[in-house]
Order: sequence, then structure tokens, then C-alpha cells
Amino acid sequence: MNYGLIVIGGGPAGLKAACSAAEKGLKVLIIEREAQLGGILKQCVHDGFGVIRFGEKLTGPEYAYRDITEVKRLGIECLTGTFVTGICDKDGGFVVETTSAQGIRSDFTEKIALATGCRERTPRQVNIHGTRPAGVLAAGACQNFVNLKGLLPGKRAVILGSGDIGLIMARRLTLEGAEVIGVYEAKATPSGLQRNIRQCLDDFGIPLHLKTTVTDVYGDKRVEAVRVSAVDDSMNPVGEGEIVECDLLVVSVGLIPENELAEKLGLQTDPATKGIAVDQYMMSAGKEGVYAVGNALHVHDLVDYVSEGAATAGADAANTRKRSLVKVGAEGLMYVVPQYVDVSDANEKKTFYMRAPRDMAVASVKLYADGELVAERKLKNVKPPEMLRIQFKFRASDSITLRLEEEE
Amino acid sequence: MSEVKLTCIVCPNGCELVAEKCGDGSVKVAGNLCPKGVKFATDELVRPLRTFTGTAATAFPDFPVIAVKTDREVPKEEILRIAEYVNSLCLTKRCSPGDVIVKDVLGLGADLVVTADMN
Amino acid sequence: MAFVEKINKKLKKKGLNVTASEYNGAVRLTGEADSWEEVLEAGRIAAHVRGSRGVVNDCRLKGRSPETVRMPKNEDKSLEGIAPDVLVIGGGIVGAAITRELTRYAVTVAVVEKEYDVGTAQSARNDGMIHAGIDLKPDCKKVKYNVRGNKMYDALSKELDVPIERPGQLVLYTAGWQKLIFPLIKLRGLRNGIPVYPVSPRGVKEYVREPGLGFGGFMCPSAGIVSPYLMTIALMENAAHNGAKVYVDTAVTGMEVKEHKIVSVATNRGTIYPKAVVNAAGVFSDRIAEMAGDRHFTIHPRRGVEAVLDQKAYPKAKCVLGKFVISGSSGSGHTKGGGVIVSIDHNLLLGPSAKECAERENEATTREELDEVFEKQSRLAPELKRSDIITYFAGTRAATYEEDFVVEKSAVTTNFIQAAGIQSPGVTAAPAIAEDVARWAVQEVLGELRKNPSFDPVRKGIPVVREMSGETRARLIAENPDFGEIVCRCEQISKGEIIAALHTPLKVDSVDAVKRRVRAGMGRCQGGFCQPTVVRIISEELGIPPEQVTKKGAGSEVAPYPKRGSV
Repeated sequence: MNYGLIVIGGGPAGLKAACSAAEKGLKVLIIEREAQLGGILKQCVHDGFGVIRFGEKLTGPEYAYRDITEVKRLGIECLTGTFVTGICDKDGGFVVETTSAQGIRSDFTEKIALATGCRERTPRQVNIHGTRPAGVLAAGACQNFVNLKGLLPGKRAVILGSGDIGLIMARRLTLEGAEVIGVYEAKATPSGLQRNIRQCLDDFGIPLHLKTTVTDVYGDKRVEAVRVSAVDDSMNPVGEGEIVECDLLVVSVGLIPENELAEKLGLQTDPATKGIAVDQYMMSAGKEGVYAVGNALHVHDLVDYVSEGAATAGADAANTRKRSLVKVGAEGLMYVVPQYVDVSDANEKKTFYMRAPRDMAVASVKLYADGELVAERKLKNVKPPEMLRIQFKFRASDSITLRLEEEE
Repeated sequence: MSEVKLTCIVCPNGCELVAEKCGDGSVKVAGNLCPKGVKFATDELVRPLRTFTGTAATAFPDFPVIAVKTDREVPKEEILRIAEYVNSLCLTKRCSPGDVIVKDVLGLGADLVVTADMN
Repeated sequence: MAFVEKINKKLKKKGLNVTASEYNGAVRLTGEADSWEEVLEAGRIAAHVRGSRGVVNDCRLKGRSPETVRMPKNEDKSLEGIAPDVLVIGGGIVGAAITRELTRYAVTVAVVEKEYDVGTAQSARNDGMIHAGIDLKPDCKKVKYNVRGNKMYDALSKELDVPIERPGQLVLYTAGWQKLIFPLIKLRGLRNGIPVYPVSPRGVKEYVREPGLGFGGFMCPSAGIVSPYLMTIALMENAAHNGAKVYVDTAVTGMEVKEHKIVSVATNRGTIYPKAVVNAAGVFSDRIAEMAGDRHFTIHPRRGVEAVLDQKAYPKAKCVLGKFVISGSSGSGHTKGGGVIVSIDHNLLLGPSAKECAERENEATTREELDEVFEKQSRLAPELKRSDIITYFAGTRAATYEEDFVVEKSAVTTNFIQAAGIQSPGVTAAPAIAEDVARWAVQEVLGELRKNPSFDPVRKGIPVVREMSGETRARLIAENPDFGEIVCRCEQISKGEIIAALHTPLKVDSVDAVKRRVRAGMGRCQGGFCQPTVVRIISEELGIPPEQVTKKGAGSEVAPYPKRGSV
């Protein structure tokens, strides 16, 4: 079949990109590898989603349900249980090869949106040693077992990493009757949102140990204990540490965008975001017609912004632009998305997503276009876990730089 | 009474609030970007409220459990009691988001609703 | 005995509180040592003196309680009274190769393995090299079986449907002068039947995208790679297909030996009455030898740690890379020094390290060891990054003080055959060892080498959909839609492959057993996504409640507490 846009991934990013492309009249196909649409939201049974987009606190499944309902209303074609095995350029568009229980299939599309989400860093990627028993799980896998399979993987849990999924799981495990001994974080500041620390840990009296990590796992068949140890400024363990008895170690130590398909298309990833570099419409800087949206592009803090970016990409898929790209300089920031701006575009409004490298009480983001300061935004309580989203209206032709400065 | 530091959990802004209970029982709040912060801080000092979210077991093998929540906030100190109650349930009817499965949970004034789609 | 005196003199000179005595034609060391290093030193001293059958090192380490053995959790009488012609103890690659070889003959065979699956110890915890054997001392059993075994791998690969590759091993010089030694290496190769040719410093670039050592080296083109656990599984599946009985979760707890003959073998599942017994018990092979009344060697475990790199790093090396090491007599001289291995699954492996340790089943990794492995081996290909590592593992080698294999028909216990002390290059040597051991065992039982006329050497592997052409894949999915449904996204493993693994001739009911057969969970997410699904498939397919599905056998339930409300 021929499509205007094939969206790979049926999570919140893919669903929204598909809807906004379909609204512009494109023939859209969503390819989802799991049996049901919704992506990771299916297992996020907690609430807090959609406050910005819908003005109400929804649970993950409710948020997904709204987009899925819209996908159905628009009559968008969906292939679930379908896995993309190949993707290549053809005649200015792309051929997408898939496999499913129905067989293999090959479709042509003018444009493509990568909405493949992200995966978790594994315990081994943070240098956990010792034995390899059952009961050591990435937070997302633990969430899947508890929230979708109805299986509790342990009754006395240690959580490594203060990422949001880890914090959420601390509360979930508690509500499921498990004892959460503590959350351990190697960094000096929490990785998750402050409000999650309040409502997931503080509400239940779960301690958060900063500058402390899990170094070793003990136990043959199942986890029997872990060794926790203080770390120095370069996050290397110091001293002997102490043994904490537990039957479950949940590891929530970061997310990495999944970009295997982008790599198949020969696209390089931005080392800062681990996603591909894009322009303000989330179109790949390296290849026309390829969009990356949601956590495949960069790891978001809120699904509302995932949907926002995906909507931008989906709507743009109906357009033809003759691009003139200018790289966005990022100073004092961990990263900025988009990494490029198409300066030939008539729309002056551009949304930037960025992350600060460290906590700042007061700061400002300054935008320089063609060497001149054209806009400035004051910010309070800047924290790395909280993504900064700023819209600017400006024109530029040769250079764009964003600079984050801490203020007294 | 002394000042209390709070992080507002109502929206993603996550405002860092400073709240103080005055002699007349009213609460003085600073640090909020919107009026929701005042309500949150007041509740927090008087009677903290939370929405319960979790899962309930079902009789269907394709959905061993299903996501549920209280349709409004309930007193924070009741959350664990609600969890225990919900953990004892087992649904025998396929549900869609919004379907009420328990009315007035534990007499707290909130209904338990399903938030995921089994159909 | 002359060797006893000599050894005692040497021990005394070293100031060790250890005494040598004669025992079963071997030298037995007793006493108490302050450190594990002292225990080892005593053993090495004894091994250096010729004349004995080997070293039985019973030195105790001060303050250390006897080592506990990981035992199966089950106990029953289901094997009580069975009487196979040959009982093989140990389901590693050596035991598997022997068991299969035995099924070529007109004997009945049973194999017992104390773990939940075959091939979980050394046979899973190694780099899968089919060694050329150039680094081995001439005239030892290791080199004899290595060279023979290496040549058998092509046929084995075809018969058992287990892929092998022969990318060759490039041994790199660490200094310019080392190339002067090449004629000697070539000569050694000629003597042992191992082809080898020189590679110039410029030639190295063909094999390493960014070489770290610029002095050239030599190539051993017969060096190959295989998945060692898949080969173990395939050998055992084929053995089972040919009638061998494979009992996992079955540990030998004792033997009754009368007049130099094993009468019965006690296990946690009842007593077995075999006509002949084969010892292929890996790191516990000396314990089995003791039960059988012919202990003349000691296993001193030597740990190895190996790092597994993301498949994205695979193009950085084109063949196995090693560093030229001039063998010494110290402990480290007994390893090949490790290297960069281009694994059959297209991950690069770095390692293994080699460290003596007191515990035979210490499979825990440490930060220090991994750091050491990475520091050392990444020098061979400096392009490799620490962040390429997706996982790591450790294993213990069954080293003897003689540093050679014990492959023999027992001179003491008439119906006992040993394939013991097999460490590296055990994977390479296993098929050759199996030929000899099986012949000895059959001769013992039948008095002749009568063949099994219905032996079928062919085993069909599980279809690998990610490697299929579109057409083949389409046909397979049309026959069975499960092969179209991808469960493990990193490695592109279908539900059909996982289900197929559950219905192979051996008992497969755990997540790790599935993983070793079809690679589900071996990719960069390490099962983060697919593990819950794999658990569900095992549960549905085998009809066991999901909370009882294990990671690696009883006691390792992945998520043991189900939520079951009441209506």
C-alpha cells in the first residue's frame, strides 16, 4: 500500500502525530509492535497526565484512551502486533517492511514518523555487580509485571535511582503491600520530579538516600540482599558500604531513546539527546521526510509535551518545505531540541525544549539571532529533571544561539 | 505556628510553596503561580487529599488486572486502607474507562472507576 | 616414594605448613594455610615434581568452613532403581558430547545434571572460541584433543544445525622484536598440525578498524567461534533424540564402590545402578573422582570475567584478537590472556580474565575485575568504549594443578571413566574427548564396540526468523502465525521461536533456559521489555501459573506474588 505518512509506534507520540497528519488529509498508517495501542501509558496507572493538554489529571490509560478514540474517529489504519524489520529509501519516499502474525508486508510512504519511544538503562549499565538472581528488574519491567500482569515481583524492595518511574514504583509497590526499604540515588540531587518525591516517597515515609548507590547483588536463585555504598563526586563507591536485605531490586537509572530504525536510515544521533537531530517541525536534519517524535527524539518529563511535539510533526507532514537549516547553538544547557531551525519557514513562532545541567534558583534563557539578543525568558527553580519548554517568535538567517544563565 | 515548606503536586509546575497556619485557622501561602496552590497548601495543612490510583484483579486472563482510581480526592490517611480494599476485589465484568465498579468506596464519598479499556 | 620427599623438602623451604604424602599414586597435601595463595602455591610446588599421578590438595584454608555446593531443591524417588548401561555425571558440553557419542553405540545412557538446565556453568560462561591451539604446550592432552576437536566442528555444526564461523584468531605482538619468534611459532604449528601465517603491521588494519598495537602478529585461520551453550544444548537434544535420558535438577550425593567397581550412584532423586560411570562433572569432577575411589587431582577454580558488547560495536573487529603472551609458570601463564572475541551472535566479547578463587561456584562479578578486563582488552581495539558494554558475566574454570585434562579410563575403579579437569579449551576439545571416552565406556559395558543401528546424527534447530529471507519467513508465518509475532525486539525473536524452545527434547521451563536457546532477552535492553511477555508465554504454553515461572529453576520465581481478589 501507499501512504502519505507511516507512523512507527502507537504510543502517545505516534497516536498524536497520526491524528494531526490525518486531520490535514494525509493517508496515515500506524504500526505498533504490541498487541494494543497506547505504548508505555498502558502500564502507567498513576495519574498526573494531561494537566497541560486537557486541564485535568488523567491516568496513563485514560490519556491514551483519548488519543486512541480520536485515531478511531479519524479512521486511521493501525497495524498492531506488527514489527518493523526493515526501512529504506525509495523514489523520494520510504519502503517499510513489517512482520506480524498475518505475514510479512511491505508498504510505501512519502514520509515517516519514528515514535518508537525509549528503553531503560539496565542494571549492568550502571556497573552493578555480584550475582544474577531473579528479583532484579528495571523499573519499567517491574511496572509491567505489577500493573499489567498482576504479579508482584517481591515484598521487600530496594529501589536504585530516583527517576520518575522508580519513584512511581515505590508508591505502587507500597500500595500492593510490599515494603519499600528505600530509594538510593548516586547523584547529589534527585533525578525525578520534586512533586513525585513528595507524593510517592514522603507520603509513605520512604527514605531517599542521595549520593548512595547499589554496588552488588547477593543471592543465588533470588535476590537476598544488596550492598549499598556512598559515592564520591565522580560517583565511585567509597568505603565498604552496608548490606541491605531485600527480595527485590528495582533499577530506575535513566532512559535512552530507541533509534535502531533511524540508524537503519543512516541517521546519526545527537550524543546529548541520544535521538536524531531535527528542525522545529521534528523533521530530521539529516534526511527529508523523516520525523522523530516523543521519547524516541528526546526523553520528555511530561506526556503533554510529547503530544505537542508530535502534533507539530504530524501537521507538517502534509507540507512541502524547501528547507534552509541553521544549527541552534546551545550554551549552558544539556541539550536543545530542535537542534536546527529551518529559517526559510514563514512561521516565526518556534518552540524549544531543553534541559538545564544543574539546579538553579533563578536563571534566564537568552536567544541570540544573527548575533543579536532578540528575546529573554526569566525562569525560577530550574532543575535538570524538569524539561524547559520555551516559545520564541523571531526571524533569523545565519545563526541562532540559546544560552542559559544563572542569575543571583 | 511556623512555616511549612511544600511542593505543590497539583500540576507539573511543581511550585515550591511556603505555607503558614494563622491564628484564625486560615492559611497564608507564598510561592504559588496560581490559586490551585493556595487550595493545595490549605488542604495539606488541614486535611491532605490524594487521588487513589492502582489496579484491581479481574476474572479475565487477557487482563489479569485493570487500572482503577477514585474519581475524586480522598483523605491521604485513607489511601493505604483503600489500597487494601481494592486489592481484595475481583472484576467479573469487562469495563471501559469511566465505568464505576464501586460506589462510595469505604464511605469516603468517592467512587472507584476503571481507567483502562478491556473491550 | 621419591617424589614425596622431594616435595616435602620444597614445601619446607618455602616455609609452608603443609605436608606431602603418597595417596592413590598421587601426592596428597595436608595442613593448614593462612591464605588461598598458600594453598595454591603448595599445589603448584607439588605439581612441578614428576613421578606422581597428580596432586590431591587437601590443605585447609584457616578459618574457612567447608564449601557448600549449590544443590537442587527437589527430592524424590523418581530415579530409584534405574539401571542404565552408562551414567554420565555432568551436563556441560563435555558431558553432552559424551552422552551423544554413547548413543552411537548399543548401550543405554542416562545423564544427570545438578542444575536446572544443561550447559549452565563453564559451558555457558565462556567466550565460545574454537581454539586453534597454537598457544598450547606440545604433547599435552589439551593440545591433542584441541586439534582433533577443532577439525570436528564443521561436521558437528552441519549435523546439529548450530552455526559456527571461522574468522581466525589474530595474535598481536606487543613489541617489535617478537616477530623474530615467528619461525618457532610456525614450527610449533607444524608439529601440532595448526596452520599459522604472519601478518604485517599494515595487514592488521584489515582485521581491526583501529588497531591498538602496531607491531603486526600472526594469524591462526583455523580458530573459530560457536555458541558454547547452544552447542551443549544441541548435543544433548540429539542424544535425547537417540534415546539418552537427560535428568536435570539431579545431583550425585554418593557412590557405593565394591571391589574397585561402582555398584550404585546415589542422587537426590533416588539410587541409580549403572554398569559404567563417566565423570564429566566440571568444577566438581575431583569430588566425583573421590566418591568413585580414584582421586588423583584437585580442581582449583579459576575465575574468568567476560564483558559483552552491543552489536553496534561488532564492525570494530573482523576476527578474534589476542595478544602475544610468552607462557610463564605462574598462574597467569596458564591462560591465553584473553582478547576480543567476535561472537557468533555478533556481539564482541572482551575477556576473559583469570583469577584463582577458593569457591567453585563463585559466579559473581566484581567492579575491579570488569575494569581490569576492559582496560586490558580494549587496548587491542581502542575504538571500543566502556559504554558499548551491555552486560558481563563470570565463570569458574575447572583447573587442575597439572594444568592438563584428565581424560582416562580409571586405573583403579574398573567401571569409571574420567573426563575431568576440563577447562579452556574444553569447548574445542569436547567432541574429541567424547569419542575416546565413549569407546572406553562401551568397551567396558559390552566388551565390544557394537553400534546402535538407528542412531540419527541430525538435529534440527529452532528456526531463526531474523536470518530468513522474506519468502521463507512468509511461508513459515503462513504455517504458524506465531513466527510473525516479535516478542524480543532487540534481537527480533518471535513468539514462535520461544514456543518452539519450550517443546524441544529437554526440559525447558525457565526464562534463562529460553534465553540460551533463542536469545530472547540477550539484546541491549537485557529483557527489560520482553521478560514479562516471555513469562506469560511460558505460563500459557506449559500450563503453569505465571507466578511459578522461574528465571533459572525452582526458587527463582520471577514475580511470585499474584494479585487475586475475591469476587
